[in-house]
Amino acid sequence: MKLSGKALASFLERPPKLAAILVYGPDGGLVRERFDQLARSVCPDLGDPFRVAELTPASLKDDPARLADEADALALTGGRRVVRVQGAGDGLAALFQSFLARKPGEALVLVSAGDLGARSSLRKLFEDSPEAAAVPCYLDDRQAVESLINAALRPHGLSLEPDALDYLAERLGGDRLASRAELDKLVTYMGQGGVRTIRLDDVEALIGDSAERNQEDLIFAAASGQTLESQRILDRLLREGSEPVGLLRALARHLQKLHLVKGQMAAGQSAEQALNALRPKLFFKRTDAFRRQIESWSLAKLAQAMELAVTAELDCKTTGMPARALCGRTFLQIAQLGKAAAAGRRR
Amino acid sequence: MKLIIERAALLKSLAHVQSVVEKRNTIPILSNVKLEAGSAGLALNATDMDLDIVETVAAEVARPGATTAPAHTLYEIVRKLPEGSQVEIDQAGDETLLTLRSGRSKFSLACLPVADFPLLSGGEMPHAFQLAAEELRALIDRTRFAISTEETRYYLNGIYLHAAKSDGIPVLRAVATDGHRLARVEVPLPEGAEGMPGVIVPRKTVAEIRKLIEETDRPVSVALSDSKIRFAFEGTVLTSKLIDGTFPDYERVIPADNDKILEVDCKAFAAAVDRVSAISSEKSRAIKLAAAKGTLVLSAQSPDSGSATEELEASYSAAAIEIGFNSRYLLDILAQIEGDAVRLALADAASPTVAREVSDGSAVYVLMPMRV
Repeated sequence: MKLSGKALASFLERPPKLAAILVYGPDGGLVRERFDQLARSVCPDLGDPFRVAELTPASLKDDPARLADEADALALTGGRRVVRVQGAGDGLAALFQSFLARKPGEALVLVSAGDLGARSSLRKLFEDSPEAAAVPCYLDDRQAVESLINAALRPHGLSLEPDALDYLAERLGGDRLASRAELDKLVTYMGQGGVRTIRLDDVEALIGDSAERNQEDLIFAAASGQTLESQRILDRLLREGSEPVGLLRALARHLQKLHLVKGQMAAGQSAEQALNALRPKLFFKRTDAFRRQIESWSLAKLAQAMELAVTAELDCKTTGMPARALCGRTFLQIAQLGKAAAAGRRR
Repeated sequence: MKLIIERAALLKSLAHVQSVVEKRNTIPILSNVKLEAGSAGLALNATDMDLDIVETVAAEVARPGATTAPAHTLYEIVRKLPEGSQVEIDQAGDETLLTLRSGRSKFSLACLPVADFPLLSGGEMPHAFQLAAEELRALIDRTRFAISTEETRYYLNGIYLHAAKSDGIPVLRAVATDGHRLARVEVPLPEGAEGMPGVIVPRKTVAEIRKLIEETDRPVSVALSDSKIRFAFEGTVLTSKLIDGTFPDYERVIPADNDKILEVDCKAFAAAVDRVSAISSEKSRAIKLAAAKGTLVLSAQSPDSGSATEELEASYSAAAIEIGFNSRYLLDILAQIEGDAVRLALADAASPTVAREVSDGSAVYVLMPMRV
């Protein structure tokens, strides 16, 4: 049974009696959530040793008979059983095919997997079998994230200012469980009573990856020519375990973005048009700094800076090269270029 | 520290203590055995932080002292020394080296400071009693096959030992289950065990105790608290942490009124199950039992390899019944029956079946049927 849209929603709400269900998709948190939800629809207490069995793909490879044995076993204490297999892949497709081909067992066999493509044999098997179903767990899109946010906040009487919602929606959605945890944190932070509208400051204070924010600070400092500030943040990031290559790549991406906008301006667009065309959109708090950088950097200097960043990335990946020192030097060089560019603009 | 000891005595004690030491350890001191020479002889002590064993063995101590040395290496050395030889263990000025001499062999072993060796024993044990070796053996042997090996169900990874009443008579009961079958064995409650808390003794501890009782016929002293249990044999004291969890309410699993009674010769039954299950393929281990007046027919089917049936004589007079079992679990239980005949009490094809020895009611096994 292949499920999507409304059929999926009603399936999850009231799962029919099937022999096996596959839960798969790129959103690991959502896979986990639905996997547990489906298991609980059969046995509310997942800790019940008599009604819940856990099998690993490795144990099934060693002893394929365990799948049928567990599925056919009846619970000592009565009630339907759940057999959970987590982390399956196409390697188990043949086993499940012969399992589904025979008379299906009493128990519900629940299988979880990562992101399976449309050509995956395991996914096709569950989609095509009348005894089984495949439940996809895609990443939440913007609309889904917004409804997730609203559903989490409304019961607590909380609402979001539009820019806070934008900020939040952009940072959630990669993993359903992680998103829920972030929202729980926000609810706890807002406390009972008092201010009931969440402002951007509140969201900024606790949601999101602080490393990511620091990285952006670093790149903006370097491109704005703040030599000392950029070295200070770089030191901290490296101490916290950021990888030089990752930082250099982020810097190169930023320079490319500046180059793109400059190029479009040279082709006749206004700065405003070129900025609006950027995808993903710039975070509005960064727009002014970005605008100043466009004004000061020339296309030629940007090309020179990009060259520096890319060469440094290559060098960092060469065995034996001191990656941290290279990264530090490159950030310094680019910050100095940025400083010269800013000075040029002032003159 | 300096002492002379018989190789055989040292080897026997080392064999006991080194089996507690894990093969791979992230904490170096846990790979070592603590050697302590004193007036009582040589005390050997090993631990994995959950289980601690101390064994004292007679030795001619010339100079008391203590150190720790690699357990497996020491055991291998002593094992390979010629039978009947004497071993001299000497730690002179250098505290990081231990010298072992026997005949013309000489070994120097790297030591770790004895102060670093963790102490597990100790703590108050308010409940203490004596248990005959054969009773402890029966409690372990007849239940350990049912201990779960699934790590996520940690509270099933051991034998649940507790005081209970069976038909009004106080008993000490051992129970183990893995969710598919359950074994319950009881012995008369020893003096001092009244009011003891129900405790779960971990699988590894069970295995170590079983090795130790093999070599003794004397009563074993058992002492326990909520978190630890101690078994004292002649010269050997084993202290173990208990599993911190709640054992499921197993009583609800054991049916009391199964009225279809089947009695069959145990050995012939086990052999027949074994034969018939040879046909059940890689895909399932299910086997079907059909009981009718005076006979029991075993059958198995596999879409790949064919089918098998075997008929046995049995004492059965209730309404005919067909029921499926996992052949492996059924064999495990039949292997526990020591008498000639086994009695199966059945209800229907979807309810737990109770198995017990015809001549001995102290052990009860519960087996869940399978859909066939």
